[in-house]
Amino acid sequence: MTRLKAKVVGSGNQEDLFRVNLPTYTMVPGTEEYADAEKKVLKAVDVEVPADEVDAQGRPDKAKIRAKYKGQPRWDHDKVGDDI
Amino acid sequence: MRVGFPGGPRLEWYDRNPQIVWTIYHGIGIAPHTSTQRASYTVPIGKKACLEFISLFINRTTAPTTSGQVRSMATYTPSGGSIGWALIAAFNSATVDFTDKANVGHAGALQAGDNLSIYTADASTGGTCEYRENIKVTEFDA
Repeated sequence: MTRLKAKVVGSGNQEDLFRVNLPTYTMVPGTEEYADAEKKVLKAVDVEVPADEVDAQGRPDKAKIRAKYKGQPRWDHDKVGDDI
Repeated sequence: MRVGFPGGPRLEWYDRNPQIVWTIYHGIGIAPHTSTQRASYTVPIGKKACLEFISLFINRTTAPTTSGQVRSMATYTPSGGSIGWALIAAFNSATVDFTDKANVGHAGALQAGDNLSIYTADASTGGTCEYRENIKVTEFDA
């Protein structure tokens, strides 16, 4: 697993949960950064992702993710990883 | 009569390049928050996975000013399909050390593109909780 800082997307409600837009990850507790701390609006968090989905700099690798999840519309597209 | 397979019998799933995948979130002293996807696992292409267990545990650590529902959830989204709840633990209590948990074992097979995720939420005002969420799958060659 590789640890990296990731942007959190979503609005925190049941239909649009706070999440990281990657196929496989685990948030690291205690690393949350908030856009609004009082309202608990998440902005970023450290996550652990599979080592075969990142590049040499430890950032999400578009080509590797697309190949690993080939044929999955949610992950096999040219913008995957752009919002991390 | 003898029955055989020209290339030899196919190995059982647990012998086809098996890889254990832990999807876990252990959060201690977590303050109230809206619905947050803590972890996610998606089955890669060319693989399948055996879902061996899901375990969810929540414990009230410090009392809130006003209690709201505290939830720990696991969801399953089939490849190309819609999200659905797989397992949930929840309570609404201000009592310190109040606990809820849910477990399921050997829930079945996952196909490439299927997703399992775990979530937490706490609608209380003040107070903290501990969350221990675990999903274990064994990924193998399809």
